[in-house]
Amino acid sequence: MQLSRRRRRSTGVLGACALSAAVCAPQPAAGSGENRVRGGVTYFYEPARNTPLSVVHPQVAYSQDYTPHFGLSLGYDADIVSGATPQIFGVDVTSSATKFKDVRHNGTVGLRFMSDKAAFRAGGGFAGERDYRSGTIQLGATADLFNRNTQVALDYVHNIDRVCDAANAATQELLQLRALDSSDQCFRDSAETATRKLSIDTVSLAVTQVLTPWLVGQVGVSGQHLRGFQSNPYRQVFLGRRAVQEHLPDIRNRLALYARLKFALRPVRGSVELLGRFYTDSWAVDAVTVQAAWDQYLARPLLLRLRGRVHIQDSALFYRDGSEYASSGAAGSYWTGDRELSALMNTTLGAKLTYLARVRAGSKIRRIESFRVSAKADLLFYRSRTKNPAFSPNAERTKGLLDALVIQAQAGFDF
Amino acid sequence: MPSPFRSEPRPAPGRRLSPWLLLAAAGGLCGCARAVLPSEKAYLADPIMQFDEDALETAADEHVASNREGAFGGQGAGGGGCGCN
Repeated sequence: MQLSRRRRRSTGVLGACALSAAVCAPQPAAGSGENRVRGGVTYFYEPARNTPLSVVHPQVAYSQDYTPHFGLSLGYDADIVSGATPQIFGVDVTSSATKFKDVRHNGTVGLRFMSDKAAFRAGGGFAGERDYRSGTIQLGATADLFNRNTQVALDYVHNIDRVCDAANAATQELLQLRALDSSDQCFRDSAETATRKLSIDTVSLAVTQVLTPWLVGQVGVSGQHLRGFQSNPYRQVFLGRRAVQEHLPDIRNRLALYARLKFALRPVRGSVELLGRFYTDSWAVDAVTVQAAWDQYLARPLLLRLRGRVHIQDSALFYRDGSEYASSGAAGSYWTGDRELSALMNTTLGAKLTYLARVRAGSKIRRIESFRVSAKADLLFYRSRTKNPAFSPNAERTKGLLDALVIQAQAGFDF
Repeated sequence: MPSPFRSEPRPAPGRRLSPWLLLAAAGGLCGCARAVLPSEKAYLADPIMQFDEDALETAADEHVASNREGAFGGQGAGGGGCGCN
């Protein structure tokens, strides 16, 4: 539930992400073999005295080219979420945390049709949990150009989502909007709940270019249009003397531009990757992200990856912190206590160790070409950039030095 | 194919990194770089030269970021442009 609450405005991203991961990405050169099985578990933890959050995220993916021109991919992942969250966002509000547990399941299927220099992809997926359902359709194409030195990838994803909400339909006055108390009656014929629609269209274009025998670059753009219910049905903002359900615009347009380079460090058997990204949207959230990663072979089959990432964003036009809601009220007819929409800086430092091995010719494991095992840990640091950080969302979760931890274990093989 | 990073070949004359190469990198995406031959792509075929080589990790990272940040996108497409298969 907590994850789904935050997921409202990022469902299209997740849909595209899950599909890209399980169905089509990484996109090899058109027509190449893509036979692999992968499985992994990610553990996410946000420590806090009263409102900790933990998510267990298992993933499995299977991909196989049955002929030189046709391939199939299947994927499954889940979110097993447990934790607690504050009931109301605002100052001078004494509220106990609400404990919750939920499980989200997500399944994907994809087809690939390949020729020598191009590949076409079609896929779909469905994700469901107690208070949110999402259907996804994806179409994509990749073309190799100029002696395979240039690769152009175009993807389109359409989400058909349904969100459970309190039965606020008869409420004309925004200040009377009430929050959803529980997901027990969601998607049932109940007078206490209603189902809201959310439609998302996402288009991504990426151009990958081999620049030299040791340098490859990529530029891309992603655009997204959301229309429908995007508020968190559970979240309440304390306006004046009353707690009112969060209220966000129904329309949001988003745009992201990025460029990245990967350079081989031949003398040390490693590589360096640099990423720069700019983001803007119609809610006035502007963001810049930079990332650097170093891949390094330690020994023959052992690979170490170090990664650092910094993300800085402004707040949405209508975002105010708890202190501002108390002193000035809402900015217009929209209000939120969403951390995603506040001004913030996220920093990630991570390390990953991978054992990559090829099966020797003549081995008894004839059908397996190579296998891998990996483990990684990411440390996440969050800093509010609002005027009054003490009244920022999830302030209790961000009092320590370390704000979240991600641990991942993974295994798989190519055949 | 075995990683070319395991045994370091001697660079061919004129192939060392130079400011001209960096300049070519900057302008390469608009077509300024010279065509790289298939025989020169051994390094690019290595897993560490692929963008988003680990799809599950990329998906999980994006999953975390999208739940903690308001921004989206920019992860791009996978692949590394090896084109040697």
